[in-house]
Amino acid sequence: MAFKINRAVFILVALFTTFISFWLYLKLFLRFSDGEISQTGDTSSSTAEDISLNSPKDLTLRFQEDGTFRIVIFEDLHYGEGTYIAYVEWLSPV
Amino acid sequence: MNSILDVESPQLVVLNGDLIAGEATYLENSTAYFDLIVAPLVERGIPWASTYGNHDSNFNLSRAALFGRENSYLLSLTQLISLPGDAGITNFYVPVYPSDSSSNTPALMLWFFDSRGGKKFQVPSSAEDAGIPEVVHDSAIAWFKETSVRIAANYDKIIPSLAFFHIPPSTMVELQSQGVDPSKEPGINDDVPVAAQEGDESFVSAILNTPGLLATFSGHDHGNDWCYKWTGEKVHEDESKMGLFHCFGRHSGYGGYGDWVRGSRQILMKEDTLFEEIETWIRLEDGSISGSVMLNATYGKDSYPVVERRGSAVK
Repeated sequence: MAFKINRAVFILVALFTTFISFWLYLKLFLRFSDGEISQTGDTSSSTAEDISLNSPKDLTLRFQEDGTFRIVIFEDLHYGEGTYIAYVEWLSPV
Repeated sequence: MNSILDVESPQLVVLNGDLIAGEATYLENSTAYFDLIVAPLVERGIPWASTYGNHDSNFNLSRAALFGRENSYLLSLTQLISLPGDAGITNFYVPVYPSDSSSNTPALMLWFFDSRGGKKFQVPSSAEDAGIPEVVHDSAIAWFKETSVRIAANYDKIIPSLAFFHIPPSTMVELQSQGVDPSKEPGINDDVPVAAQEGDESFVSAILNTPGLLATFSGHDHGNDWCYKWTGEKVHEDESKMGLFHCFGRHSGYGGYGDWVRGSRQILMKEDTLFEEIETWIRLEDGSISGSVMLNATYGKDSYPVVERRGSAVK
């Protein structure tokens, strides 16, 4: 009986390890296979349909009732650079 | 971005270039970063308009693909106008209407230009023609001049306007060399000389000769966030009482060089003083305000607190 349990646990562990190894291989392959020899198109795997968008509304810009209009400028975000974003990307595969 | 949007209440966000570090992306997900960028704006329902920068074009990232991604968002006001030649993508304008909803005449016009740069998509960087010039294309300048005249004619009035582009004009190099007074043009001034557009005489001429243009805004130089009153020949002084200004924004992202405290430039326009003044300041991500100034007829003479150079605790 003990032998059978050990065998079952062994098989489960082996399957799990195989799955994780395969998943890691795919991740690494996808991340490091696109050097300057790649000639395929942009194959971003997430699409607009995956993204939660706001419902349609009138986007006409207009001064507020108090007569003001406020603009915020964000610039030089450089997404994709640095470990933080790589970490986010790793955890949230697209 | 979240910390700033928690304390400011904009009607519009401008993403003024270098949204993505194209050289650090992989083909399969290069444009997917855009979803991360705009998530705080989508969450708050704030519309935005973009200009693309020199880092938004590279071997694995094209401006066209980035625009395709951006264009899938209903909150994006960025437009693609068909122009001859390699004019880039983000050359367009957005009108802002008066608070009086019965008026169909814009109170303010916002112009956006693609100052280009970076590397061509899927062209090896070793190729001689891999680079894209860092300057607004002639066809975009021609379109701007023709369209601004047509708009003025259509409405039979000069409409005040602002312009946004990523790489500053070359005239900022000369203005900086004349000296940026820390008490009269407050801001950090660490990028010397300014990295600017190249061969942009036509663009500068168009800016200086566009009636109603009040101020231009650029990024690119992470170490500069001052405003300067533009000197030179201007033909619209009879319309504007304030002059023409150029302001650098503030390095907002955690990519790119520099360890200055991150932040963003704020612009406050008032309907009844459009031709007289623009209030602007830098909101830092720690919630404090830096370099708050009034762009008006006396800017350059008025004294302001000197901006303290502060490094970020997070590199």
